[in-house]
Amino acid sequence: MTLMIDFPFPGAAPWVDHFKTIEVPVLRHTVHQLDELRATAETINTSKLATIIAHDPLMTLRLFQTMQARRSSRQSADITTIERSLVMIGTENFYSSIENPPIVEQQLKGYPKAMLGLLKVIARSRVAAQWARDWALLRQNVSFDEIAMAALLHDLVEILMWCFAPNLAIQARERQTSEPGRRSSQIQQEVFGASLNDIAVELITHWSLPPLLCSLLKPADGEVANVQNVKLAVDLARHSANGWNDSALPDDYRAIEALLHIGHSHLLERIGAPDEQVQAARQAEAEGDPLAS
Amino acid sequence: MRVLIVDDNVSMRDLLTALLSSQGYQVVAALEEGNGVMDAVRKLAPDIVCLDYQLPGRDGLDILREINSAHPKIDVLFITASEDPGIEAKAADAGAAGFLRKPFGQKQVIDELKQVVETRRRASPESQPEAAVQSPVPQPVAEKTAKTPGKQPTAVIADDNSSIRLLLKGLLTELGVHVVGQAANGEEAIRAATNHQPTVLFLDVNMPILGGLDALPRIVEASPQTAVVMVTGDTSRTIVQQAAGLGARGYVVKPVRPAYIEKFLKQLFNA
Repeated sequence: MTLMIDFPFPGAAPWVDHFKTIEVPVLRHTVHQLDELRATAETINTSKLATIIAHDPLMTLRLFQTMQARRSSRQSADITTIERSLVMIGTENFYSSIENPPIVEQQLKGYPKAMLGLLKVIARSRVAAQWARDWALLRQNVSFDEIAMAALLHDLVEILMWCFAPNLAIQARERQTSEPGRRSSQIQQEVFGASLNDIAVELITHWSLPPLLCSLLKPADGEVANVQNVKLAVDLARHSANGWNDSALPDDYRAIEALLHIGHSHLLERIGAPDEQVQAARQAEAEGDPLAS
Repeated sequence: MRVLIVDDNVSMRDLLTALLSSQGYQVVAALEEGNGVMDAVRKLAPDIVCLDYQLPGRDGLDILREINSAHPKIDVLFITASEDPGIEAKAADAGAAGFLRKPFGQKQVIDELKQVVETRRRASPESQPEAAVQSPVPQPVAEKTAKTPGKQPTAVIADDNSSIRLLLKGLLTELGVHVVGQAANGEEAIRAATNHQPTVLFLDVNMPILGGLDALPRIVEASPQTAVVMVTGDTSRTIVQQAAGLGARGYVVKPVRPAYIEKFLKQLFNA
């Protein structure tokens, strides 16, 4: 267990160096679920394990760290999904890599506000991953698992900050709430001493995370459909977490409908929007209202 | 201020080294295992040791006891990730000057070290002239509050840990209390109470030969005017109630802090 950071590092590089040395903690629930399956590790279906791991971005990150550590020098192709990673490592080796992992609830027991903040980001990441996967399937894109995982790990550095710099993460969230006009990257620079994206780029490379995650951070790749698929899912999850009347949602809806070529009511239905909003959209579409979408 | 860091976690060692250096401490070494700590203490003469509990080679509690016994003027900041609820009391009884349970933040380390340094400064007679220049030494509590003007209150300190005795003696002297006797076990405490009839007797709960709670009724009987104050790392209700039932006037929690001792003596002498 390491020291919690209360003072910002001067720039992205020291943060990256720090995160390279830490052991990533995992959710207690994930550990319990994996423990229940441990006895059958030799015969277990990897997709069952993958489903549990995919529910916890921290455990997903640990899996990729393990894979990176065991990666053969001859292996050139990127492995970009949880299930394929498990197959490569082997379930028994995977279980060996998670003997007595640090538990995040234990790590943050003195920081209840941070624990709540972390759980919110994780919940948001899960929703984003679910939507990203659903839309990729709708687009008949074979990389649906990679797309889902990119959405799950999109806020990876924010998650690490909640785990290892809880007081700074709380400060950043409070500043974002009290200064809604400021760009989040400016606030991050002031609170953490670096932008989270700058830290993410280095860590994604260091831990050999799926390259799609890197593309998400490159403005030049902004128009690539898979990148859009992930970004829109992450944005929608972020905005809808504030409630289904968040002012940023209409723009998100328009972009998603354009990407998926579907109508407004259909989208609202797919993402589980409140019934009354779905009904209102259907009615507007039936009446030929051009503003319906 | 020279600091020795002992922790098996590389990230913890690196971060503590950077943090303490930035705060003006001189980190003399950062060790990863328990074996060799005593050699390093002898060679490097640190003022403070930041000591992890669970170490490869030798456990921190064992090292803490040896440092306190062989080098009572070295302060140990005890660090642990252990969930054992009794470990804090064990470390305090073994003479830890400060305690941090992982996970903790950088600010907590700085604050705890400041407390440790301040306690040592107030308890060390040699540092007081210098300290008087930096910050005003508090007016002796005894002069301000003793019921009989002109008569200096007296104290006996009973604790098997020489480091804690040294610390308490320094603090009490600074506060204007004359330390007339010291004891390392309950039997010695009874003899000192009988011989000196002190105003106050600081009595450790856990001592060899005869523990504090067993000695307490005999001290009260031998010196009824003495206010007996229990000194303990264990603040469980059972101990506190038991001590109160046997005639103790209060208790001081280890690690000992000057502000608490000062406040406590004020209340005691005003009562």
